Amino acid sequence: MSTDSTLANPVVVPVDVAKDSAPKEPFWSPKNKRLLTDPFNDDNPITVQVLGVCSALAVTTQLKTALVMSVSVVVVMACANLLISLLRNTIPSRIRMIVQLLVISGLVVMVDQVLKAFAYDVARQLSVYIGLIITNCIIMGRLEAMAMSSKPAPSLLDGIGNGVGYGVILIVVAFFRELFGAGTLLGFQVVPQVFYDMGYVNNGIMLTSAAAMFIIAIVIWIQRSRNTKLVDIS
Amino acid sequence: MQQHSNSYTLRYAIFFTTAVAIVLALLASGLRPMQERNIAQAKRAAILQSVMEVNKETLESDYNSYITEFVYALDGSEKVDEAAFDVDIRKQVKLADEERSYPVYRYDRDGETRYIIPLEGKGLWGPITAFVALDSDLNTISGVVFEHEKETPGLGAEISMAMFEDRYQGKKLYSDGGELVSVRVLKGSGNLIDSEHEVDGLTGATMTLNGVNGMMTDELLLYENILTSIKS
Repeated sequence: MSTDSTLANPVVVPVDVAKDSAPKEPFWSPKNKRLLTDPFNDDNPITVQVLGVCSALAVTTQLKTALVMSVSVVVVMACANLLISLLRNTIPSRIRMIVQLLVISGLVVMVDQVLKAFAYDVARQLSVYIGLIITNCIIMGRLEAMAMSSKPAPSLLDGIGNGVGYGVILIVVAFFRELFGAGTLLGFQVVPQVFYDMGYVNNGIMLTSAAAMFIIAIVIWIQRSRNTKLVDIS
Repeated sequence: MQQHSNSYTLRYAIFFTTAVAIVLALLASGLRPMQERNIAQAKRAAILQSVMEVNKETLESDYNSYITEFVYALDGSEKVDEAAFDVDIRKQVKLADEERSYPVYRYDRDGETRYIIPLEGKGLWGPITAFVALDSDLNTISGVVFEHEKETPGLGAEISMAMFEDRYQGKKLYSDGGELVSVRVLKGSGNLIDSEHEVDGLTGATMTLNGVNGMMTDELLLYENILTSIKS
């Protein structure tokens, strides 16, 4: 996919084109707004860039975990984008990915420690997923593609936008998996007992990772049939 | 961006890792007391939950007034100088059976007595814990609490749901012949259960349930002498 080549390509170096001459851009300029909204449709990290699929498979058996994971990723991605963008001119290019990884994992460990001290129940529920955030390739992808070459304000918006774009897909997938796999939503029974009495059974496949693959594929299909410019001609 | 020199890169790397390490170390040690308190509170809550409804506000006073702690050795003799709450079963499991300490919690309230046995086992991804509450006959299970750290939500993690834990209620540890056989969880769900020593399983959680069985049988059987000595 397009972003994979960006990640592997070391030629992408930060260029501050608008550094001195350009007038100061307002925070809510149309261009900045697009940074927030693009990840919802034309540039969604999961369905268009096809990043972060592994965690989308793992944490979507239940709506609740998907929600908390989404919030955590938004927080970590926004902070990491902001920090890396502030540091971007000091980071030596040869070790930039290691520095990015250090910032991400540092933030994730911090979130984990704070949750364990102040919201122990949530921390216990999230246990595995907190660690999974470090390996989420969307975060590193955005640091490399955006924060290393942009000013802090747009980077922050880009981080939030991509985090939310990721979270929306997670929530959609988790909604269908929990509904059809367990008959519940957020832990509450929504499929009425009458259905079960009539012979309806929960779909066990929905609880396996394969189901997330199907649902993501269907989302991608719907999105591309509505927006043909996303269709890969090759 | 200009090309940075080797020495700048090296200095940057050293400075940056040190800075992150210091921040994390300060944060971790600053928050440690709160985290340890949370862990202890969660353990008290789990012990109480196997015998009664847990109220977060009165948790500590409930625990202190209803629970008495004991530590036993494998042969059933009491180890008076150890505190049951501080016994780290995860470390104890690595010792030889004879050297281990076996904690037991006794619950007394309004003339009702129950015994709670804490157990440790391995799930698919990490450790799992059980608190098994027995009626005063030391045979009938009155409640079980399972806890896990990393099991898959929707699959293995379901062991800590009431709908699974409740399946153990009323099951017996001893066979009709008086032999300690404990309770086994079956593979998959929808099994027909007609035994007092079996419960229905969970589809897609076989590895976690193997760990549950390991705790509920192998580990629990080590308590045989202790149960006998409490009874007499």
